[in-house]
Amino acid sequence: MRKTIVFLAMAALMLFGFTAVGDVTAGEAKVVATIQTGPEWTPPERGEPLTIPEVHYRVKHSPYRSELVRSGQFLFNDASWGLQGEYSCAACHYERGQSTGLIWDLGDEGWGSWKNVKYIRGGRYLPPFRHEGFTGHPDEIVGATSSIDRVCGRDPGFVFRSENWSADRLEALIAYIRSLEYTGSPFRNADGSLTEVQKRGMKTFYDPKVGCANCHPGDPMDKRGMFGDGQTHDVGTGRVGKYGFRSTPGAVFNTKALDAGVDPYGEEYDVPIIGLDLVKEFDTPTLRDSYASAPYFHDGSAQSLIQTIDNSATEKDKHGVTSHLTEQELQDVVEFMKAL
Amino acid sequence: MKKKSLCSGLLSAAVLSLALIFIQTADAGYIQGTRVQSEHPSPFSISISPDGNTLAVANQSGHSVTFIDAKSQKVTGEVAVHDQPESSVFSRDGKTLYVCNAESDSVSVVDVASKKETKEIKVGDWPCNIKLSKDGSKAYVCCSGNMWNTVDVIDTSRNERASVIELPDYGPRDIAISPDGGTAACICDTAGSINRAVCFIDLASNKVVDRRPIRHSANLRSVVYSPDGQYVAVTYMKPKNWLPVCEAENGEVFTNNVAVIETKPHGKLAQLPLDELNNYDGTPYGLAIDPQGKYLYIAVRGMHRVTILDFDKIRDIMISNTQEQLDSYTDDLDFVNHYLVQRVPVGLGPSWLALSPDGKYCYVCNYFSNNVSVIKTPL
Ligand code: HEC
Ligand code: HEC
Repeated sequence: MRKTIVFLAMAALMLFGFTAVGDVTAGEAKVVATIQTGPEWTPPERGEPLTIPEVHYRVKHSPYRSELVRSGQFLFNDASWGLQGEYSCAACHYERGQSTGLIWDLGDEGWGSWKNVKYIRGGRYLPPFRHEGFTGHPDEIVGATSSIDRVCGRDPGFVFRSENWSADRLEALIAYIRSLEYTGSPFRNADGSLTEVQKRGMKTFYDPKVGCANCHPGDPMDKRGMFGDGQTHDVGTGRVGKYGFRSTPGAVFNTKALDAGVDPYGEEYDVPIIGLDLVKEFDTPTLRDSYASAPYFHDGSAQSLIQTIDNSATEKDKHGVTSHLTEQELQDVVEFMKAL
Repeated sequence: MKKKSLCSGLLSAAVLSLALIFIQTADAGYIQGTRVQSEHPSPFSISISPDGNTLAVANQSGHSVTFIDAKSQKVTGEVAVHDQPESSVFSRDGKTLYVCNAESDSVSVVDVASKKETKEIKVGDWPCNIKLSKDGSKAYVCCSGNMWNTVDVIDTSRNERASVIELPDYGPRDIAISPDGGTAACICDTAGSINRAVCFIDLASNKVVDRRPIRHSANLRSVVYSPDGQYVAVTYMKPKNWLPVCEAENGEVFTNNVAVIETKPHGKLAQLPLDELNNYDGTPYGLAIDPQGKYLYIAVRGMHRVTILDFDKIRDIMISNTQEQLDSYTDDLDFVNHYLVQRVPVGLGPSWLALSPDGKYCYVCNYFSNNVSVIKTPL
C-alpha cells in the first residue's frame, strides 16, 4: 500500500516536473496538457470548392449519417472558415438551431427587404423555404434548399466572405440542418395533454369563422401535425407603399403607430431604417415550437404571439378574422399556440 | 411448454438488450438538438471543486458528467444524468454536484464519491447555468427558454426548489453571485431584442433591483463578477443588422465583445471589442476571472482559442474614461491591443472554462474535440 502511494507520488512529481519543464516561460500562457474525455475527432477537410451545379446536385442528393451530422454541427458553430472569423451560422441561428430573433437584410431578394432569422428546427418538414417561399419540392433536400444554396452554399462569399463549400463540408452542413428536431413545448401538462385554457384556445383556433386552421392545419396530439399549409398568402403583413416602414428590431411604423405616439427614434428603435417588401405574400410558417421562435412574421414585426392575431401588425382581419374576439379569447389562442 | 420457454427466452433477450441500451446512454447520446445517435460526448461546460482537485465536465450529447482528477489529469469516472446537461456546480464541501439538464428541464443531484445521481429536481424551461450562493445554502438555476424568465432557487439542504425569481426579460442565460454574497447579476439573452440586459437581483428579497441594457447586443453568454465586486463582465456579440449584409469586413455584420459594467447604480458601461482587423473572436462563450482579478479568460467557441485579457488595464480604462469616451471605442478594431494579453489556441469548439482556485491553471472543455485543454496561466 505504502509502496503504491510512493509510486503515485513519484509519478505525480514526474508529471509535474514534465509540465514545469515543458518550456513555459514565466508570464506566457500555454497549453500544457490535453485530457481526452471522448473519441478524438477532426472536422472534414476543406477540400476543393464546388461549382454551382455541383452544389445543386449535392443539396438534392445528400446522404444522412450521424458522422455527417456531427461534422455539420461543427461547421454550423465554426467561425474560422469565414475570411476573418467574425461569426458562424450559430451567431444568427443560435447554437440550438433556434433563432436569435434579429432581422437582417441578406440582400439576395433585393436590398432593403429585412427578414426575420428563421427558426430552423424541424425546417425540413415544411418546404418551401425562407419567408418568401422559394423553391421547395418535398422530395428535394429538406432543410432549406434555397437557403443552403443562397445563404451558405451557392455564394457563401456573399455573406461570409469565404470560398465555396467542398462536397464533404456541404453535405455535412445539410445533414445537420435536416436532423434538427422540434423541441416540444414546456407549457403542456406533465403528461403531454392540453390544459383547460389551451383547450379553450384550441376551440377558437378551429372555429371556421376565425379561420386559423385553413392555413395552419394540424392536430396538437399528432407529432407530425405541422400547422402550416406550405403555401404563400397575403395576410396583410407586406409593408408596401402606404403600409409603412420598419425599423431594425422589426417594429412597423405606419400612420396608425405614429398617431398612437410610437417614436421610431426611441431607445429601442434607435437605428430606424426604411425597409420595404418587394412582395406581399409569404410562406405560412409552422406553428410548432412557436413558443420558442419569437419574434414573428417574415419581418419580425410581431414581437409576441398576441401581436400576430390582435390586428396590430397586420391589416384588419386579413390574418384570420379576429376583430370580434374578446381579449380573453385571443389570449386563449395564444396559450394554445404556446402548447404546439 | 416449448412455446413458453421460447417466449421467456425472447423476453429475457429483450430485457437484456434494453438493459444494454440503458448502459450505453452514458456514452452514446443524441447529437444536441437532434435525434441522431452519436458516440461523441460533446463536453459543453466544466466546473471545478472548491479544493481544486476534481473537475466535472457536462457532456451535452453524452447526457452524462465526466469526472477528472485535476492532479493526475486522469478521467476517474462518468455518471449518466438526463438530457443535454449544459452546466454543473459543486457544493461547498465538494461532496455533491448539481447538474442542469437543459432538455429535461431538471437539475440532477449527484453524489461525487459514489458517482450516482441521488435525485432529480424539476425546474423551469431549459436550465442552462447554475451557481451557488456564497454560503452554499442555495443554488440559482437560469431557466433560459425563449419564453421563460425565471431563476429557480434550490435549497441545498433539502434539495428542493424553494422559490422562483421572476425577471423582467426572457432567456436568463447565466448568473454570477457578488463576492459579498448579497447580489446576483443575471444576463438575459432575450430573442428579438437588440438591447439585451443584465439584471441585478437582491438575494435577500429575490427582487430585481437594477436592469442595465447593453446597447446593440445579442448572444449574451456568460457573466462574472470581478473579485472586488465593482465590475461585472459579460461576453456577447454586437449585431450590425441595420446595415445590409454585404460588408463582412470591418466588423459590419457582427463584432464580438466583452461588456464591463460598474456595479454601482448608474455606473459606467464599456463595450470592449475582442476583435482585431482581420482577426475576430467569433462567438465568445464562457468567462472566468482569477481570484486576484488580474486576468480575464474567454472561451471563443467559433475560433477555437482562449483569449486572455489584462483586467488591471481594463480597470484603468474604466476609471480614466468618461462614458462618452468609452462609447467611442466600441467599434475600434485597434482597441483590443490595450488589454489583450494572449490568444491561446486550444481544441475545437471551446465553450466553457474553469480556473484552479489559485488561478494558475485554466481548464477549457472543447466541445468538438471531446477533450479538456489545461492551460498554465500567466499568473
Ligand atoms: C447574418 C445572419 C445569418 C447567418 C450568419 C446565417 N443565416 Fe441562415 N437565415 C438568416 C435569415 C435572416 C434567414 C431568413 C431569410 C429569408 O427567409 O429570406 C435565414 C434562413 C435560413 C434557412 C431557411 C430555413 C427555412 O425553414 O426556411 C436555413 C436552412 C439557414 N438559414 C441556414 C443557415 C446556415 C447553414 C448558415 C451558416 C452557413 C446560416 N444560415 C447563416 C440569417 C442568417
Ligand atoms: C390565409 C392564411 C392564414 C390564416 C387564415 C391564418 N394564418 Fe397565420 N400565417 C399565415 C402566413 C402567410 C403567415 C406568415 C406571414 C409573414 O411572414 O409575414 C402566418 C404567420 C402566423 C404566425 C407567426 C409564426 C411565425 O413563426 O412567424 C402565427 C403565430 C400565426 N400565423 C397564427 C395564426 C392564427 C392564430 C390564426 C387564426 C387567428 C392564423 N394564423 C390565421 C397564414 C395564415
